[in-house]
Amino acid sequence: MNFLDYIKGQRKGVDAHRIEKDSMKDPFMYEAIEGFDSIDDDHLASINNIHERLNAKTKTIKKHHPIWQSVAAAAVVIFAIAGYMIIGYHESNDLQAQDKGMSSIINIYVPEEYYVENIVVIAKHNTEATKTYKPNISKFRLDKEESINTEALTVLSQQEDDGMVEVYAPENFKDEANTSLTIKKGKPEPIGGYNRYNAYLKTAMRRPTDDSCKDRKGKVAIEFSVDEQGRPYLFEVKQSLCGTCDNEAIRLIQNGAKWTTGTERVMVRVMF
Amino acid sequence: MIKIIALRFFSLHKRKEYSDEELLSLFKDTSKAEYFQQLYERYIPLIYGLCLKYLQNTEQSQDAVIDIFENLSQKIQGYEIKIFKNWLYSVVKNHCFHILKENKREIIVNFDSQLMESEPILDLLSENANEDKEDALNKCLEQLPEPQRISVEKFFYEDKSYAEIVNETGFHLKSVKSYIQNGKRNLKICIEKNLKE
Repeated sequence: MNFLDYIKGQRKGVDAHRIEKDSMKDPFMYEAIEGFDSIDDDHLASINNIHERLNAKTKTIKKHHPIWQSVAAAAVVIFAIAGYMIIGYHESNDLQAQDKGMSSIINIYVPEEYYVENIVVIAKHNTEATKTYKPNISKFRLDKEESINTEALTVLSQQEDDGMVEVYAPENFKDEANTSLTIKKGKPEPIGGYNRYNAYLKTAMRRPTDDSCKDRKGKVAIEFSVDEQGRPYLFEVKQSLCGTCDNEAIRLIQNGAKWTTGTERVMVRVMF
Repeated sequence: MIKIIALRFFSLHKRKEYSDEELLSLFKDTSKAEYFQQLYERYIPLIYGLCLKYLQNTEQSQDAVIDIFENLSQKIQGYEIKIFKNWLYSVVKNHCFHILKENKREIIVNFDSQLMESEPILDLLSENANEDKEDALNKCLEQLPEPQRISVEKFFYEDKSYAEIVNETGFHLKSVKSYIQNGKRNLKICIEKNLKE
């Protein structure tokens, strides 16, 4: 018997007793039972109702950004295929000559929202993959007003087959990553100066608490570019310590001060 | 390195029973909402019940379950979570307290349920411990007030459920629960005293 049967009112027998005994060690369950018992209602109907609302919710989210999702999905698929192809080539050693051809630059564009949400994952993939080929995942912003034709996307999926990995974003997107007109040349610096920035890195850091990371000491080196609004992006983990430390370093930089603009990439070291 | 990533991409499509913590790290790694949803749905009955306890209103509680889901699916990436269930329990409680505070309602906290984690007395009542303790336990059981003793004995020795005890004794359900709760506490105090002597 499961918990739902118990809520429904099957309160007798060994199973009911077992749930009651378990709940003595489990405050969550104990209080939940108290809650169900304190109100007379068809609780199972309510729970089903919640399930339905939740499902409806996640579906509407999907309806809202069908293009974003498909672009993101396409990017992921291509990335996986590209990775898979390269493994395939590596496994058959006779194709080393073709390796030069394979190390072409792959530009993958993903929607800004996706990019921001998955920045940590992307940064990791960038680092892991640089040894074999040079991916460059940048962002673009869709013009919400105009409807975007999905033709570009179908073109893209046809091209997967013939080995060339080239991704085209819809025609009318604004390529912010490449419009460096407003960016001055030179090296960006944190607004407020390096002294304050380093002080921030020290005070704002949250030490990892997971077992594999909590005792690790050392530094994490993160390289990134600064966009025209002074925000760091295109992260790359240059020196890794461990998973959560790397994530924390990127989080610190993302949440930290803005930077003066500049075209050169910046390296920041975070001490753990 | 890439091989690992690629393999992971392909193996994701197999459905399998993940533990809470596995689902959570899958969600963190892939940012796929369905992993978090799958995890959250496991706890909907518990969450809903807990909200009912504090909010005492079915509609508000249902909304709260949805709200918490939406909040968490956005923010959970930033948290370090060891045991998801324990963490969720405090999140839900805080959410309810927050709602009550906004409505300026009084917060009723039942302290009984606060002190229950892994009490040694539970183990003692469940299995045969050493003789000293067994003696002390029996002595203490005798000293308990009648309703507490009956309820404790029926629950722990005869494995009866609350509802069955209600039927057999005619006590009210709430009383049975508090008899057992208080009986346990009295036994613990009594046994500790006995063993010291």
